[in-house]
Amino acid sequence: MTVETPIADWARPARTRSMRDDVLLATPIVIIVAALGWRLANPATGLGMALLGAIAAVLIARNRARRYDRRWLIAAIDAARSDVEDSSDLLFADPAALTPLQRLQRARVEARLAGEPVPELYPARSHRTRVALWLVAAAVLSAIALWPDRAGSGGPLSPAHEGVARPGIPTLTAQRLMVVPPAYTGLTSRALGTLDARVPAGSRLEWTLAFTPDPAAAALAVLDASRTALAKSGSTWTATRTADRSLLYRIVAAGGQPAPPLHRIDVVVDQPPRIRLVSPAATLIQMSPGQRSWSLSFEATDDYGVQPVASLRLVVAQGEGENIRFSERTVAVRGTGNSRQRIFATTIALSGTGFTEPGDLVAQLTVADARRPSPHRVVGPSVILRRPPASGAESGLEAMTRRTMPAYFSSQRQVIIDAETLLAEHPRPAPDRFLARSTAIADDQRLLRMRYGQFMGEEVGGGATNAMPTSDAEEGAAPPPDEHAGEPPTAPPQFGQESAIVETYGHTHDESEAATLLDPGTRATLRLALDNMRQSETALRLGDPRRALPFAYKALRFIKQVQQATRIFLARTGSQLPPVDLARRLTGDRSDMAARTLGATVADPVDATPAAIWAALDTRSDAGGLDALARWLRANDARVPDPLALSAAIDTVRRDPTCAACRAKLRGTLWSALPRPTPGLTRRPAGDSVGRRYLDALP
Amino acid sequence: MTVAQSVAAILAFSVVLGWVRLLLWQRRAPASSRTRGWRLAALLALQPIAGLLLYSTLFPPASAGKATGTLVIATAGAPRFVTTGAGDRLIALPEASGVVGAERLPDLGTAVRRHPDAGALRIVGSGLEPRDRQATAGLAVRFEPARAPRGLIALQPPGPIAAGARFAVTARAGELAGGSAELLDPASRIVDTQPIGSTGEIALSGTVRAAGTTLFTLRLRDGSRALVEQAAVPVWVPASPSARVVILAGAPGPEVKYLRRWATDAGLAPQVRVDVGGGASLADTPPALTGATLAKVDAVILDDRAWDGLGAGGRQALAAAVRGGMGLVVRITAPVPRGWQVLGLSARGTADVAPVTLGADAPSDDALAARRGPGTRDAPASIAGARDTVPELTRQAVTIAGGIPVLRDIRGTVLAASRGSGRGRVALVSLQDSFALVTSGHGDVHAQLWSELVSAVARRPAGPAVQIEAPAFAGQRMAICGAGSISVTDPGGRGGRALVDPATGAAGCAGYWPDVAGWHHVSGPAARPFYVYPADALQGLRAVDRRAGTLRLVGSGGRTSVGTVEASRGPSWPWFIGWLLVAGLLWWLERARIGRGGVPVFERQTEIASRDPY
Repeated sequence: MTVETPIADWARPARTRSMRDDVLLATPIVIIVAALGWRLANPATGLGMALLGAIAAVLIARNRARRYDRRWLIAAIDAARSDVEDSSDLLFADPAALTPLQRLQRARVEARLAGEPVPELYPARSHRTRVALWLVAAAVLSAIALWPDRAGSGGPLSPAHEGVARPGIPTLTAQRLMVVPPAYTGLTSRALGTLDARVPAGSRLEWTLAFTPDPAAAALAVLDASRTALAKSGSTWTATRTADRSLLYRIVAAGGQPAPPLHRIDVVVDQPPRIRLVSPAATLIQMSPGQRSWSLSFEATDDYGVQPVASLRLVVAQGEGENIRFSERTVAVRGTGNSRQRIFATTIALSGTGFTEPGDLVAQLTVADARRPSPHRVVGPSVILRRPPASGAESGLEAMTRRTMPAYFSSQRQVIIDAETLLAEHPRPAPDRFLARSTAIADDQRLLRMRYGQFMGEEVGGGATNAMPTSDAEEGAAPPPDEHAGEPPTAPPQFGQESAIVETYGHTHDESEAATLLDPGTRATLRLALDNMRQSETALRLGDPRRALPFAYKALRFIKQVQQATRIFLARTGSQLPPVDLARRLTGDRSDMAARTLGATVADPVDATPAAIWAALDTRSDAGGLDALARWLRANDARVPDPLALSAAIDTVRRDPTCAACRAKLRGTLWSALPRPTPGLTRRPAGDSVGRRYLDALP
Repeated sequence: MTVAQSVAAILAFSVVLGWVRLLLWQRRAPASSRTRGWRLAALLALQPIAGLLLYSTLFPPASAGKATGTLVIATAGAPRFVTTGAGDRLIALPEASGVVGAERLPDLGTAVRRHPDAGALRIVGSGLEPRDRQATAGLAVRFEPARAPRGLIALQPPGPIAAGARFAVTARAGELAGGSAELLDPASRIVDTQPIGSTGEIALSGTVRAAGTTLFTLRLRDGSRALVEQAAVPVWVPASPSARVVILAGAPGPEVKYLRRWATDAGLAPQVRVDVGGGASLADTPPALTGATLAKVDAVILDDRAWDGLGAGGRQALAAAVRGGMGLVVRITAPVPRGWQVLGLSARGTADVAPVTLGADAPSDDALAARRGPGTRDAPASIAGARDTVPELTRQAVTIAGGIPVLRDIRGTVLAASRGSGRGRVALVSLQDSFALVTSGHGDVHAQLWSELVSAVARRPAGPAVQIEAPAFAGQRMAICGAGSISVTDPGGRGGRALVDPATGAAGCAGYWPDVAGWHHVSGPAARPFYVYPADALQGLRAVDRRAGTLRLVGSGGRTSVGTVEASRGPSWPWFIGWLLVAGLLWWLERARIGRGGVPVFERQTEIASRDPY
């Protein structure tokens, strides 16, 4: 059959074109994958990925091309040519198995196909997909090519100067140190061309280094501490570390020079903010009469930034004597100005603070800086607004005394005034009204008596309240609650606590603390005052203020005496002299007086290690001295002004023990850590025998 | 009378004797054998000639007269072009560089030997090295000294100093008026600065640490703060030897408390006794004031009450101990009676007290911190007082007479003076409340003050000592004087013995040629280190040294000095031959028959002839 060959030829172009289309589609993907590999790893990886991708693409394309087989061809011919009358399958069937009719049909079809060329069977794919894919690939490729390095913002590496490059020995040839300060500092990251730096604490350090030739491995060796291996990326080596402390390090390449130079990272520690009081000028302000508000202004500075909101603590301390009440609250103050120097200004309305009595209003600003994770909080100076007491200011001896009793005594005067007012009222009120008002005054008198009775240790009772007897408006005292209702259940008695028996089975009505508050004289006077108050109260209740007045006056006089007597003088603390032995005094007996030894005054011994090592370093052979010095430095690095410089000097001498200049530098560095001993005697020149004879001969 | 004069006198006497003999002969000789007039005259004349020639043979005169040319010697600092006169020869010594047309010779001795006809030397440049100063013998030397160089021209490094003490460096700078000098410690921190005045005198101070050797640095800057010169200042702190002091006080008080504390901290093993009245006292180990115990004590510090309370016997024991070498410090704590004195040091004054302000050592806060060091646990640097908070102290308003000042305040008032008594010294101090320095955070000033005061009087060390001339330079001979054999170890660890020159006698000096710079160590009983400067260090100072040495060679004089060094003897053989000829002539003339029997000069000619064997 002549038709066999053309039929095979009809399917091949379709396969070829299918493969071509597939490869065209896959190529950009393969290129992108290879470019990514080249960029992220190294060129070899890129090449390998390209190879793998190409093989995969070809395999997939071949698989896809297999779709164009006989069945597809039959269907395609049937679809393309109506004149084959859906009989193209006959062309591929075994002629021997065909029926005559089928053979006839086959011949017809063959003839028709031969007569007219078979049209394009392969369905041309859309160019759009391909073009779009290629465009996207081009964009991605350019992005891969132009995308900056991970640490690439620093630009090119700077040349390094670490020893002389010798063939075959890895030497550091280029370097870059990227310093990324913590975000809260607000500092931008910067790329340094050197390996020494001063960086803010908490900065991220990124080294990018290049060696020639590339070593097998390289590390960042921190002096007297850990090593950080360098990771190879492309032609450069990188390492990352957080700067939490100052350190000395060197870049060590495997097979490289044994002692590359040391580099130094100094960490600048974040300083806490400082608060300065701008206004008022002094920290203690006397309140002016009629003052309603108080303006405060603080300035807070910090090396990186102060948080914009600070808290202002307001403490109100008011009252007199022992009766001082405190109240505290905190208000937020928003600062103005730039972050490094903020002004916190606020005006406090005094009415809102409850500051009504003589006393102090203390304001204290607390600011925090922006440090993370734990901000520095600094409490500023206390500013005090003082409302002076109504009477004259205390001074001198007055300041050493404490009033044991608050000034409640005006109420007795009030009782007298009320009684005299009632008597002087004209026309005289009706008897029942007169009696009612007299009884009211008697109630006041009773309250007052009860209050003073408390100081005497008397039980509060009989309708008295714990309210302060300063206010005469307290009419109709509340009925007394059950004295024993609120008491907590007593604990079971313990063996040996005899006093607990009273608490268990009895009930004490005296307040022991209050009863011991006053000395006996004062107690007697107060007792007299209470008695007179009782007399006054009795007369008032009987509606006879005129008879009550003398007792009231007496009571007032006694209370005044008490007021003047009850000052407690606090002893200054001072030397406690041994008691004088009065039996021996002025007798002239000195029998057991004797010489006594003096107390020891030896100072803390000065650590002799650095001085000994310093002296030993003068000589040439002292291998052990360096180790001892390094140990001493680890233990005492807080006392050395610049421990890193000393570490570096020790390391230099250790690596080159014969270097006299290094040794001198180490001694010089150690000098600043040597404490100065207390100077003793500098010996005068000894002189010779002639001089001694001359001195002896002098008169 | 020297040998030469004696010989000349003997010869002159012999000549006179010869004349007398000749004349006597002439008189006694018979007339026939009497000498003729010319023969007698010749015999008489030849006698002094022979004497003169014999003298010249024994003491040949200098050969200066025959010198003809001048050697122009170019030394260090000579200009490139040196003008020479006719017949002058230009010689360049090794220190001179780049002199045009000069003959280069290794030293002056070689030059003089190569040019024996030269009669005079003209020195150009800064002067002759010590090596060449002995080679100018017999030559007239002319030297035109150049001006003193700019920079450091004199340096006096401190001697041995106690650990922790303050030391002083004195120096002089040339041509640097308006500049400044600064002293740097081994850690390169400035510890003292001073402006340079017109005289150029510099006095700086610093503090040392523990025992050992160290190098401070002296820097000179000109008026525009530019560095002119930098010189190392060697400081040696010997290991502190054991010392003992005795402190006596008539009453307890803060002054004696802090004095005791200072002595304890400084390792002085103080024995303290404080009287508290009524015969009772406070003491750790009561000191016995006998001659035997005081011989082991380096210094006794007591106050006037304790001194008066010692009694005559105690005072005599102390006076004897001071004559034996002990130091004595007496604190004046109260008004002194008229005529009060301690071993020749007297004090008189009023009952008042006067304020005292001590001068500040450190020029700045940083310098003060560098001088103080990092502090100790007992006295941390954080509680030390600031530089301007040194408290005002008080002193008893007395004038101390009969001694040399040891301690002055900022206005120059003498606070303490000392006086020698036998081998020891005694000092009076009128300061009353130096303890306030400690309580105000200036304990370093307190310790320094008492250290310097007691050091000024304390017992001298007894052992052998080595004197070493300073400064020494690599490649230049130096002298080490001391008892016994001297062996020196150089910085490289090489040891060597320096041979003592017996000609130096009791001083026992040895010459030593260091060839490397650095700290050398003299070992032996008087072991001590010394520093050798590099060969090219301190150029200005060495130029001044050369100039002074050459001027000494020339003799004192003005700008241009000419002198003849003590003449060396010329060759004696020509004089000897002359004397031999004259003596032979005399002999021949006396024996010869010519000139005899001529004109009779004397009567008894025959007698002579008869006695004449010929």
